[in-house]
Amino acid sequence: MKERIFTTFIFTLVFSMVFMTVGISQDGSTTTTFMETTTTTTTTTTESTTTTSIEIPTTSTTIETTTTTSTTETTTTTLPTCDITASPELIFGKMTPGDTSDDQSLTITNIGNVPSNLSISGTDWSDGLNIIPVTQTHWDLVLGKAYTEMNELSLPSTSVGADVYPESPLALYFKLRIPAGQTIGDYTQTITFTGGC
Amino acid sequence: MVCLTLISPSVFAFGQVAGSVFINVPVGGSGTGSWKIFNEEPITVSISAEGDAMKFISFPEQVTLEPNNKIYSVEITAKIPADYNLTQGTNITGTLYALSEGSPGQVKINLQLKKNIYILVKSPEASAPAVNPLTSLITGFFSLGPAYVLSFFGLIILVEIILFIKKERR
Repeated sequence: MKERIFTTFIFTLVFSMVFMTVGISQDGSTTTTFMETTTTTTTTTTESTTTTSIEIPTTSTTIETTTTTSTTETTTTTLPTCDITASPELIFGKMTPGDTSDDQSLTITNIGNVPSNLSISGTDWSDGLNIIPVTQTHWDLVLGKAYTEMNELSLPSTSVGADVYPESPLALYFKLRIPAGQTIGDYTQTITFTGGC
Repeated sequence: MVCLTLISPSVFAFGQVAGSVFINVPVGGSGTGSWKIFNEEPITVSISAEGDAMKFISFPEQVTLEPNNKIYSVEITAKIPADYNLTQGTNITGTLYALSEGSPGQVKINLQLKKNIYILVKSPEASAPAVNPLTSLITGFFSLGPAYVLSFFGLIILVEIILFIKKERR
């Protein structure tokens, strides 16, 4: 009798320990990891190669995925993108203190396929020693406005008030006024356009 | 006379895949999201962030984009501390920026991309998977927790005792 109980005890103990350490999958395979949680994923891939190429034509972005197995199938997905460019250069030329420049245009183009919002910011003009305040540069979406009616460029980013649509470039016009009595020098400025979509 | 001769900035394009970045994060855990940007020319861009989300995210400060508009995924990792109080909000917002600097000159034209980021905070209870053999069976695996094993062990002993008593009575 004692031997029977002892044998049963040993058997159930071993059996239980095996089950505590071995998870059993439905397909009969086993894993030696105790599965306290159930976030196991098994993926089997056989004889397949995947190549990905991205082509962005003038107005759209294309991701082409080719999967080769027993048959070849091609899936083309066009991603929604916004892709901005700025051109051409701004040229104010040489200016005399107290002068105001003519309109200088710069065009923002979106070569993506969804509209992009746009904001603008700038820095002070500086020659390394002296500055011309950033607000001396004015901009507007309308050509020919008086300098005082245009928007002041500022360090904090400001919305230009219009989205840039694909295939519909947005022109901005800039004027610069040099303060009277400004020290002569070679001044530089940075203008940043920020686009989002 | 003030000399203001502007050196021409290079014309370049800088793009991104549309949409916002959403990251689900449990309290005391982390999550990742990606921001896809691209450029026609090879450039190095600076990544920055602002807003409430800035305190909880990490990202590379600079990334180099390969030419021909090859999409680069900027990996954004969000971590919510274990002591985060959900009353502070479960939707933490912020803005990511990628700055592409223009050519040096008298006027430098920079192009910058902006992306909204949302960190969706969840309670740990809502995020943790339940340990249930039946549920596990549905997902493909089942597990025997200690409580089940001990119960199984006791059941076998009990059956053995009952069988033994019946045999002795005969």
